[in-house]
Amino acid sequence: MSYRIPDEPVSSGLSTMAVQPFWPLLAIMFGGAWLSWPWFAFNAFATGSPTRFRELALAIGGFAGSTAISVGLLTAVQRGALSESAVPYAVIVLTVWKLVVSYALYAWQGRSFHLYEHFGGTVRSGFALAMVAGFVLRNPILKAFPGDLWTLVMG
Amino acid sequence: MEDPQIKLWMETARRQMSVGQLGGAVESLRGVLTLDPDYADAHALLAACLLDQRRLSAAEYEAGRALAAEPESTLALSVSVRTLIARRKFKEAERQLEILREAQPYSDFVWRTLAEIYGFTRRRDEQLRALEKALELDPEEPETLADLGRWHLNHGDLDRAERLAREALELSPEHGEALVLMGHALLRRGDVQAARDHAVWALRNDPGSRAALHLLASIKARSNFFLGLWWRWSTWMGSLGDGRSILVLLAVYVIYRVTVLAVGDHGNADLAGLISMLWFAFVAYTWISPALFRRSLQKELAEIRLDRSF
Repeated sequence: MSYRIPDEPVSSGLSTMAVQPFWPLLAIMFGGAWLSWPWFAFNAFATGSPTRFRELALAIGGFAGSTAISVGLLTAVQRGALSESAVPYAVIVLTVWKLVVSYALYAWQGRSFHLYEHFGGTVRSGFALAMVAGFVLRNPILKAFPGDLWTLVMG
Repeated sequence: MEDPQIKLWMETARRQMSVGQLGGAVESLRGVLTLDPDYADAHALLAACLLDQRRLSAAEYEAGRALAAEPESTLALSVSVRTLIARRKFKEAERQLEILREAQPYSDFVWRTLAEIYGFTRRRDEQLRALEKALELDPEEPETLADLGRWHLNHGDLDRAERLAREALELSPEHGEALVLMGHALLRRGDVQAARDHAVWALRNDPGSRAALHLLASIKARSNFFLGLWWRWSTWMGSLGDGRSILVLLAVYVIYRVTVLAVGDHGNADLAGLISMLWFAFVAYTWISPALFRRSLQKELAEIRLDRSF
């Protein structure tokens, strides 16, 4: 077995499903976190990214952070600590958190993806999934549970 | 005695590195390390290749392996220091340089690298002293001459900077840093065309040279303020790396959102709409700008015909 440099991707049975990290990033804009972050995590394993467990942890941490921020927001509104006019400003915190997590995942995965491509890894187009999930499945999924918490976290 | 196959691969790797075939060198070194996973020099050379390929975390790991196998190896220490500087771990780089200085007290590389760290940590006087020491040890090293010239240029001594750039170019006419230094000196003297020739020459030798791109941006700014601004922005964003450029864009996003909401709250919906449209234009621009910038740069390089006198 030949020597492996630590940033090189490892072969994986999921490699036929690998896409450019650009598509999960686009998915945060068209679909939401429910589509983007699990896709990033799946793609990390499909491309055999050396940081795949860190990427999975970040995706999970992303949902945990979104939940904490959303609960904080909703509680503040319920208790009257946040006026109605201040809500859109407070929501920026949640949006920025989602963008930070998404771009961090994109940056990590981007580095190993170049090597994955360099070693001849298969790359599929993520266009169809991004569009179908983004435009067709988005509303049913975000409305799957009553209340604002689910929509705020997954959106 | 060294395995003949390892010896052959090491020689091949060194030859490949000397002509810039980094991919080939990595494969040769992989062959060596497959046979002998603890060979310090192979790990060190591999770290040097990975560093040039900007695979920084892997380079740091390989340099660490080289040092673990042979803690006193000057090759391993040299590569490790360069890797640590690239990772902006200046304290650890300085500590390793001290070990290297004890092993090689007359090495101009050590003093020049120390000067580089002083430059990053804004210790300007110490930087000058380290560069002068490096020059004393090897007065004919173009790298040191160019670094010293850059120091004097930054401190307003244009004559001295130009003289040092000329000396460096006499020793090594293709030296990228010296070409850029001379370009800056000429630009400050108002000779825009000659400055441009130097920037393009440096870019032809190294198309990714940030210093040469920065010089070209300064030249653009002389002819057209907005074009210059665009070049500066593109060069700056490119130099920040993934993490920091994303932070800049996120900061711009927060400013945009807060502004739109505040303007809307004050009943100025038209202005809020206009700001939103400008934001979308900016977002579209950030998607297409790298390609536009590359095309503009290629056009710039293709248009240049160097003067016979140059």
